[in-house]
This record gives sequence, structure tokens and C-alpha cells, in this order.
Amino acid sequence: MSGIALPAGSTPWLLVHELKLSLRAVTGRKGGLRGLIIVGVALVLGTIFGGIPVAKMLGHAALQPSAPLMMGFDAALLLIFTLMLSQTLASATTAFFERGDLDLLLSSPLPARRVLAVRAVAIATTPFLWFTLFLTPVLLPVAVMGQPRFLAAYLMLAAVALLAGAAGVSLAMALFRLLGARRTRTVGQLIAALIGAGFFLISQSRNFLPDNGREAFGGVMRWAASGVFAPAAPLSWPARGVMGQPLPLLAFMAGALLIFAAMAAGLGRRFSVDASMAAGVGSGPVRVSNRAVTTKGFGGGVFSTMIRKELRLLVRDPTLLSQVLLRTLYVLPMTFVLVKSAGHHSTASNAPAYLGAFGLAPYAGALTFMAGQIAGSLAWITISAEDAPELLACAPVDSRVVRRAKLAATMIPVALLLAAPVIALLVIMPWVGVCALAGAAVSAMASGRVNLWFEKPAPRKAFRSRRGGSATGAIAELGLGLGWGVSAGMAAALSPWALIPMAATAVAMGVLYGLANPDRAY
Amino acid sequence: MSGENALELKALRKIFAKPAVDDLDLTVKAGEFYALLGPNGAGKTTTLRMVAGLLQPDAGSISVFGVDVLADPQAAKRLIAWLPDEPMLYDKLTPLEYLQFVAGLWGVEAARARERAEELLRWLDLWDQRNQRCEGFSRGMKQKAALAGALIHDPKLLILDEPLTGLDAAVARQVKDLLQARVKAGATVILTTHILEVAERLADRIGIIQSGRLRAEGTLAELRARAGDLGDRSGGGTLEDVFLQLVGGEAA
Repeated sequence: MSGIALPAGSTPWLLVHELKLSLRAVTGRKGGLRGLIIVGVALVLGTIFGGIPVAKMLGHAALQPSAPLMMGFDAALLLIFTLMLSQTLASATTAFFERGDLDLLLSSPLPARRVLAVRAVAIATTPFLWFTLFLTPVLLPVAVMGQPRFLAAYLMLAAVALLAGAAGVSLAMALFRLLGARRTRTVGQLIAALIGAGFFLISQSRNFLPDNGREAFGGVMRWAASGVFAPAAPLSWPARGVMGQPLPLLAFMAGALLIFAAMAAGLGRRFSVDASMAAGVGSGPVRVSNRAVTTKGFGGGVFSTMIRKELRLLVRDPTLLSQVLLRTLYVLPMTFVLVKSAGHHSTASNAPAYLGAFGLAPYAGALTFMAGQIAGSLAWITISAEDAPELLACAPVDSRVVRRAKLAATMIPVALLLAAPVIALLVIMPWVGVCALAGAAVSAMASGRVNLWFEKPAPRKAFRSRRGGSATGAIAELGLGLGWGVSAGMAAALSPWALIPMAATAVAMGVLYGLANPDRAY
Repeated sequence: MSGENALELKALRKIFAKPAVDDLDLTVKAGEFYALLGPNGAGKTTTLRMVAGLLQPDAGSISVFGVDVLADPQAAKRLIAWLPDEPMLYDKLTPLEYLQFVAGLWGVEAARARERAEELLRWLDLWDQRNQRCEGFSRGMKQKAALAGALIHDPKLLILDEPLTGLDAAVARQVKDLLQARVKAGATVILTTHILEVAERLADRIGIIQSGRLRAEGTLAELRARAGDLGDRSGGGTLEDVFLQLVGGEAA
């Protein structure tokens, strides 16, 4: 029995219901309690080693609003907004398709705008909680140890989350109108990935610009110094809100609430139409390319048949595509720098001074780590997500061939994605290129193997997010990627100490093999 | 029908919490249409999953056309097709791509597979949808696509677990016609069903299983006679009457 009886069907009542379900999804999950304990320990460690030193440094100092400070806070808020928007857009798109109780809610007499408002709040809550968790180890000690005004940052965070929720839902619905339900599913995920990597790409943009971005960067700095971030200027209001000034804080929160309410009121009716369109997506015909009309494609052994099928399924998985795109976006700037440098190298007798083995070694490490991560994303779904395990089990094929083919299918996209930067490295500095090539191959294979050892068989539909996979497998994948990455980087720098991380990672793999899941679905 | 046995189970046993299949002996002749009936939890699906190589028995032997399923599972699997009530499909593949995949698994020669795929898709009215992903299909269409997959390698033994569940009358008729055609062509069909009328109309012989043991077996006339011996005075009763008499009132 709840202490406060909210009127049934009201917005707060629906919101409590939604939040209760979200909470149960976390705590009720297998290993949920263990996850909460880990988060708790991380928070305490972050507070001790991060927040308290910062709080001591700031002490009771009277921070005055200055243009650089205002610009810094605004930039931080903008970064948080883009990261939140990436999450809310992805969640809003999937919310239409992973319907859950949407049919029940929309078939009830509740107004659609109320359902939309509550769903949008739920969508905004997840990124809000993540950022709250992430910032609390610093914010709380700073506020408690002399700067209580920074508690206002929590309210600003909530307001930014509301704005991101409204923007994510609006963008998803705009895509529905522009592209239709089916394409929105894929495009929404891809745009979310692009927005998520937006800040990183902007930070790397100087690598793409003709004069390394000096002119463009100078222009931005001149604009920033022209008084637009002066304490009284409108652009400084969000930053002053973070610093706890009442008027900017209230104005920002009221603005966010107004925008959110306008979105819910304006798009409520459209929401129920879009939701019903999304519901029809699974039942309408989906044609594939005309090439498939022909009956070519029969024949070939079990291995090639398996690879062909896995690659087809990978290409047709929008969630997976966005994950791979996100990782590819992080490789792109590196690839661009390396390819540009390889071009320099082929036309000049000597490589630029900054491209010595020591300068390039980190690239070998980064490519190795990236190979493991991309292979992990693909292998997780290729190996564990199998819609027809019984078909494979009752087929007259050796299950080892099936598993090898699934593993090979994940290596092909990794090789294609990383070919350009690795070849560029081989041209510029062959030894570093060899280290990158070997490291990437070993790291990708290691991630694939981990997914074989810790597979959690389930139908593909159950794998909408990384949550569906094995937590041990995901952590192992990350650890091995780092281990092989550090090894490759150190080997590229000709360090004999590279043998230590290499041996440690190999031993870790041995231990993981010992812990492997002996039950196989096929 | 030839004298050869398509399936021979001897003292087959599988125990979960309690025995699901308990010393089961069963023989199905080549070219026969055999219906395996029984109440829920009787052990029908467990038995057939062991035959298809999806479950390892705790004891006993399974032989398919003389091939020992436990000793040489791959050779046995080449002869079998397994079709469960939930179609084993990939939503993101088209029916044609699905058939290409299944043909690849069973090693069907390319030209033969191509010809057979077209024939099956046309027969099952899926040819016009051959280029659409299965995710948009109705349950009946999915079941037909899965049936096409089961038949692409011309199995000698076709095992179907509740193949007509959830199908409308037209699709159910198509499936029944196809199964009868397969038997006429010399294949052996074993199916489980709760729709007793299907067994009554299609099956050459019927086996009734309860608590993992075969309670009765024979043609419909033989089963009627057996039920009569047990005290059924309804004379020429339906299979439903006979079934209820034999399993002591448990629902099918």
C-alpha cells in the first residue's frame, strides 16, 4: 500500500507507475544488486579521490562570473545536452517499436498527450540519473565543503534532461513524418550515434581542415572574446544557473518546463498515430533489394552459407549498425590523420618529425583496442543472438564449423573498417603497422572467443541493447582489449616491457577460458 | 509402404524431474503417416526432440532408417526434417534466403536446391513474397516458410510437432495436402497434434502416449476395438471417444 494515494489516471500517478517499472527493471535484473553495489563503491572512490581534492582546492573561494568560466560552463552544458539527446533519441525511437505497455496505455481512455509526457519524462530520466551519478562524486563534496550554490547544478541537469527528452521525442517524431516508421528505426539510431560522437568529431575537426583549423578556431575564439559570454549577456544565463544564481536558474528551469509541456501538448495526438504506425511495421511487407529476386545464392559449403547468413543479418540490424557506426566515428579522425600522413610520406623523402615510432605507437594501441571493441559488438550478437538454434542443432553439420563461421563473420567487417588506418601505418612505419595488424587481429579474435565462451543464447529480438549479453563477457572484452592495446602500443614503441602486459593478458584469457560457459545452444 | 523401418525406438528413456519418456518402444514403418497423440506433458515432444537430435536420451536407442542416431547423429540428421510448432525462422531473411541457408546446411546441390525452392514456394503460395522479409509475415505464412525449409532437402523422415497450431483453415488444408503428398511420394511423416480429427483423417497408424509410455497403437479400427475391450460401449465412436477412453479422461 502506498502512503500517498495519487488520483488514478493522473500524470503523477502514471509517472510513479513508469518510474516503479524502470526501478524494478534495474533491481529485478539478475545481478542488479551486484551492479548497484559496484556503482556505490565507484561513487565512494570517486568522491575520495576526485571530489574531495577538488573541493579542498576550491574551498570557500568566491568564484566570480568571468567570460572564460561562463563559456566553460555553457560548453559543459552543451556537451551534456548532446550526450543526453543521443540517448533520448535512441530511446524514443526504440520506445515506439519495443512497445511494452504502449498498446495498453493508448487503448485506455487516458489522453495521448499525457501518455507522451510521461513516456518522455521516463526517457529523460535515464540520462539524468547517469549524469547525476557521474557528477555527484565531485558536485557533492564541492557543495558540502564550501560551495553550496553548486547544488543548483542538479536542477540545471534536470532541466537539460527535460530539454533533451523533448528534443529526442520531437526529433524521432519528425523522422517518422519525413521518412516513415520503418526507416526511422534505422535512421534514428544512426543520428543518435552521430549526435553522441558530435562533440568528439568537432574536437577532432582541426585534423580535417586545411590549415589544421587554425583560422576557424581563431574565429571562434574572437567571437567568444567579443563579449557574448560577458556575465550580463544572455548566453551566460545557463552558466549563472549552474552557479546557483536564482533568477537565471529559475528562468532556465521554467523555459525547459515550458518547452517540454509545449512538446507534449502539441505532439500528443501525433504520438498515438506514430505509435500505431510503428506497431504496423512488423506486419507489413519488407522488400529487400531486387538482386535477391533471383534464385542465385544457392550452393556453397556450410561455412560460406553460415557467413552469408550472418552478414545479411548484421547488415539488417539497425541497433547494431548504430553501435558499429559510433565506434567507426571514433576511428575516423585517426584514420584521416594516418592516411594524410601516409600521403606525405609517399611524396617526401622523410616522414614528418612527429611521425617517429614513438609518436605513432599509440595509434597501434588504439587500433588494437578498437578492433577488440568492434569485434565484440558484432560477435556478441552473431554468436549469442540466434533466432533458430534448433535449426542449427538438427542440421547435419559440425557445431564447431558453425561456431567458426560465426566468428569469421564478425572478423570481416572489422577487417574492412580498420584496413585503411592499418595500411596507412604499414606505409608510414612498417614495424608500427605490423604491431597494429597483429594487435588488431589478436584483439578481435580475443573478443570473439570471449563471446563464444560466455554466450547467452537468446533470439535476436532480445538483444536490443548490451544488457542482453553476459556482463562478465562485456567486462572481459573491455579488459582484454585494453591489455592487447597496451601490449601493441608498447611493442610498437620497441619497449621490451611490452612482454609484461602481453603475458598478463594471455594469462587472463586462460583464466576466462576456465570460467567459460560449458552449455552450448548448438 | 516398404517393410523397412523408418524409426525404431527401443527402451528410450529421458528423465527431467520425473521420467518424461519411460522405456518407450516405438516402430514406424517407411512410407507411413504416423500420428503420436497424448495429453499435455505425456512425453510426445520430448520423444521427437530426441529423435531429431535436439535432446540426449538417458537410456535406450534410436534408429532412423537403420542409422543409429546416437552413434552417427550427422548421418541420421541428413534423413530427417524437424518442424516444431514455433517456426524456426530468421525474421530478417526472406523466404528465398532462408531456403538458401537451409539448403546450405543440408548440403543440397545448388541446381537441385534452386529448383526445389521455387517449386516449394510456388506450391505454398509464397513465391510472390519470396523477396519480402519474414518479419512481416502472418503466423500461417511463417509456418509455410518453415515447412518449405523442412522439405528443401527431401527428407525421408518428416517429424512435425503440432504443425497446425494457430493456422487458419486454408493454410491448415495446404499443410495437410502437402504432408499427404509427401507420404504418397514415399516419405515417412510423424506428427503430434491435439486436433484429433487430423490424426483420424490423415494417419495410417496412431500411437497414444501417456506418462512417457505407449498406451496403445494401431489403425483407428484397431484402437476402437481396443477401447471396446476396455469397456467403451459407444461402438463406432470417434477417435476422441477412443482417446478419452484410453487415457482415462485426460484432455488431448
